[in-house]
Amino acid sequence: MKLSTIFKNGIIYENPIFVQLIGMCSVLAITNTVQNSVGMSGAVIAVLVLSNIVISIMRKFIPAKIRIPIFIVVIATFVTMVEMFMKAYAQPLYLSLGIFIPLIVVNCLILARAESFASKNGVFYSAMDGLAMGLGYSVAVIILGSIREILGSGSFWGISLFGEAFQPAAVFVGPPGAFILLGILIGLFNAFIKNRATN
Amino acid sequence: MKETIKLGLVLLLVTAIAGGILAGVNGVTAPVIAEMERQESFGALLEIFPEANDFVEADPSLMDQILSTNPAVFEVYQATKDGEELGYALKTLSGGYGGDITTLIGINNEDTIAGLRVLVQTETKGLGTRIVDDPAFRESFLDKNALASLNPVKEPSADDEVMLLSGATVSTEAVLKGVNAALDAYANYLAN
Repeated sequence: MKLSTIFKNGIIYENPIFVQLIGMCSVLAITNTVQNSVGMSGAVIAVLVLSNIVISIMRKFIPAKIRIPIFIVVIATFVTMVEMFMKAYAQPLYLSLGIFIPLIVVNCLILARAESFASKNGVFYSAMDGLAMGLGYSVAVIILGSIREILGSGSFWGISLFGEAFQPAAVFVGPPGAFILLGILIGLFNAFIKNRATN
Repeated sequence: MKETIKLGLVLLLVTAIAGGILAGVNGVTAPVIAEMERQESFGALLEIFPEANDFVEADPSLMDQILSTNPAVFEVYQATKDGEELGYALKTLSGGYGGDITTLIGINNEDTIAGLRVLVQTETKGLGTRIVDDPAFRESFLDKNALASLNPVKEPSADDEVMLLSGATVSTEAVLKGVNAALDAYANYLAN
């Protein structure tokens, strides 16, 4: 197995958002600003890498019949830890991400990597897979968050870009704008991948 | 049967370890979170007593006495600076036009009002919300005598008069209800 393949898969060819379309609920909800997108990306990367590592270590001892409950316990443990640390040391972020932090537990992206990768591969590659998939998620939500904040609020990272005269398109702050933009981005991304494959 | 028990035990072991780890993390973060929440509630207290460096909560037996006669008063703090007493701050809850109003009132050692802050309110926007937005309203309480109850009038001048916001009579009176309960509690239990 090559590291470059793991990263290419995670970020481009099997991008969790643009290609696999998994874990979409939080994507639509938290990409209304760049700050939220970056904060959520950090939380998802942390949970993915840590749960992949632990599940990979435990993979020889986990009885096949109860592997899913055990994966969920491991994932829920790390999500709760992230939630506690965020509440203690990054409270503004914790307040703006709200319910979507505990909901990482049921984000199928994380369970999917545990089931399809970490439970079959060694610790190092599992950690790298978690990182690669997390980066793929981050790329997608940060692109989506940037466009939504610029068009919907006329700002980037909370800093106003265009001054008073700009009338922001509020539709991009809400879920409808998120759906429309996500559709366009998925289309563009897949056209890009197809283009690369044929060349 | 044997296998079921084994699976149950494995799951028990995994969840027990997870629980233990989380208890450890909670031990680290819980005090930080509690301290931050304390700081946050100090925010308004510090606006009223800017020179204070500590706020001590009134002890439970005193609180019980206050609650028995003035149930609207639900938190009492003593503001101190390097151990020297500056005054008291009382948090009250009273029913307003759109819901409960939480008010914080500060009383300094000379028995005069040191400041008023409306912390939580859901009054009508533009009318009742002036209890927060109109600085003249809260300033009309400043330096008033804390040993007698206050009355709302259009143009306050006397020592027992504060501003009545026209168009927001109910909101004004709700704040006053809380403030007067606090003043009564202060006069009965806290003033020297």
